[in-house]
Amino acid sequence: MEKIIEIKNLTYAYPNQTKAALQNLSLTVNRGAWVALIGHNGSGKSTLAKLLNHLLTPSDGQILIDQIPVDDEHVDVIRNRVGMVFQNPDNQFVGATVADDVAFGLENRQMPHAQMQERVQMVLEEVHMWEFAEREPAHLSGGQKQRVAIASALAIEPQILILDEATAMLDPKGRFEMMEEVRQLKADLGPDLTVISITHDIDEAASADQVIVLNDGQLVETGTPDEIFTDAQKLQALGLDVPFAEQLKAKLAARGVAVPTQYETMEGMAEWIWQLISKK
Amino acid sequence: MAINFQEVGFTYQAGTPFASEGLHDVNFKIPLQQFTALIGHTGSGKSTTLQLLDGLTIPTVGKVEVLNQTLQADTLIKTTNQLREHVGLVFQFPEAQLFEDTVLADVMFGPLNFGASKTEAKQRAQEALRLVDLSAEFESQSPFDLSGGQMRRVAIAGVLALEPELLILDEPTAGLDPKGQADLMALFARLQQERHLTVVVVTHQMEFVAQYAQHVVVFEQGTVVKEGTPAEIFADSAWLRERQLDVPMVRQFTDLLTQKGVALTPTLDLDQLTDQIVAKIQGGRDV
Repeated sequence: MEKIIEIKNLTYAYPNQTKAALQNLSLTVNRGAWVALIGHNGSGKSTLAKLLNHLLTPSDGQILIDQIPVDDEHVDVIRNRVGMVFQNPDNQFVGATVADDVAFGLENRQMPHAQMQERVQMVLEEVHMWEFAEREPAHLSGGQKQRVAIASALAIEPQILILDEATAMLDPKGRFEMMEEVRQLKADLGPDLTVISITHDIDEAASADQVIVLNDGQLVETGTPDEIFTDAQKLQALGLDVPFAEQLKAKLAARGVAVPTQYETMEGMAEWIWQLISKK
Repeated sequence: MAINFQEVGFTYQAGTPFASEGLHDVNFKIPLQQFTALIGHTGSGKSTTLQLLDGLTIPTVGKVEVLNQTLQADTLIKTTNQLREHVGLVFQFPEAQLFEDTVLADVMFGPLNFGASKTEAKQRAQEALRLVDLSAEFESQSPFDLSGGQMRRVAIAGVLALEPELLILDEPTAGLDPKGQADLMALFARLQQERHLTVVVVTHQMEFVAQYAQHVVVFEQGTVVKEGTPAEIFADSAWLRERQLDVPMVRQFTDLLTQKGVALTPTLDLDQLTDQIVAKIQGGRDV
């Protein structure tokens, strides 16, 4: 598989902080993957996101995106490849209307007006917000605001979309709507879009292609959900949620039941229990 | 006497062309000295209801009985000041309201404002900080140097220092990581038990509702559509799904097994569910 992100020995310390927020991090991400980046607050997830977009400059080490070094020289090229959506929907609006807001990034890139109008309509239609194009962003619901933020990120046709806890401030309905939107986009764009989702939603992480676990600025492990989520005790020790099926497995094991060793979804676990009971 | 909403309606900017209905035909009770959860979508009327509990707003119609005071359309707002000495309201993202130079000064602000002496305010502030698990070493720090979770604890301590009988929290765990969320909810449940407080929490986190709430009130489009114990509310998962409300995991899993023909007694507790499954597995061996 072709690598879209290569991180080599990346270290970052915030100014005036003795302890590095990220320490000697190395990992790769395949093109077109859906990656869940998990870890408790302060583990370095958002710092990593900002380094990927060159909003922060590494203290040491290197990042390659699409084989281009992320540095001052290539910052414009990099930002055309990486779109970001942040946590707080109210902190990322600049335009007076929804359409203006989406156009902002394109204006910065000096796109011709006619093409810009076309692009704005296209991305707003994609996130089902075109009918709100002339509304003021302030009057939208949280979920709608985040969909506009996705549209703004998509307008530059990025290869990588980073969601930095983008659903954390939404209610369950808003969260569901937003994630459906991203899933649909991912399905439409396939290998042309790599999604990096920083999330505390363990169920969302369980459906990712790759999971990256950070703790106190260091890489704990990276792998498929099957590899990561079968160690309930480890997840808990890292301050993370444990998927329900794994919690149940641990409880069953504690009562002397021999449980499956591989990762199971809720449906998989229900099927396994049903089989066990109906066989008797 | 329980807190009681009778035929309550509330209209924003009533009598103006901008009037919009916030609540209508609201009837429900909040039992005293219990943990009550208000659930429902954003815009369903939960936050408006919280403001009525605090006397920050007065019902347009109907009446709210809260802590020996009756609030109705002709109640003067200034008469509700006395109510606020007994009601602690924690807004969403309360850390945004921190402003003092030190953690201690910030938590002392409330008691001082309600007329406590400096010594008394300090004592109450320190006690409140211990309640939220912030040790003495935090007292001299700037609240702005703390982590998000710690800042939120300071803001909550500021309300606890007022020693409220009724503690109201609007989405207190929003934006925290899973451990931060679990710790904070456990703290409210513990406070409720130890101090015999009446705790009212607005939350979307059904796992916590299932775990800690004794009473649950469901809001939809400006009114209350259901109230009862968590067992009663979560008994009908189809009803919750129709409303796009989350169903607790234990209940979801029970439903999955029931669909396969494994009969289980409804529960919201993972240990009880596990015990039942183990009994079924072992029970089978005896047949």
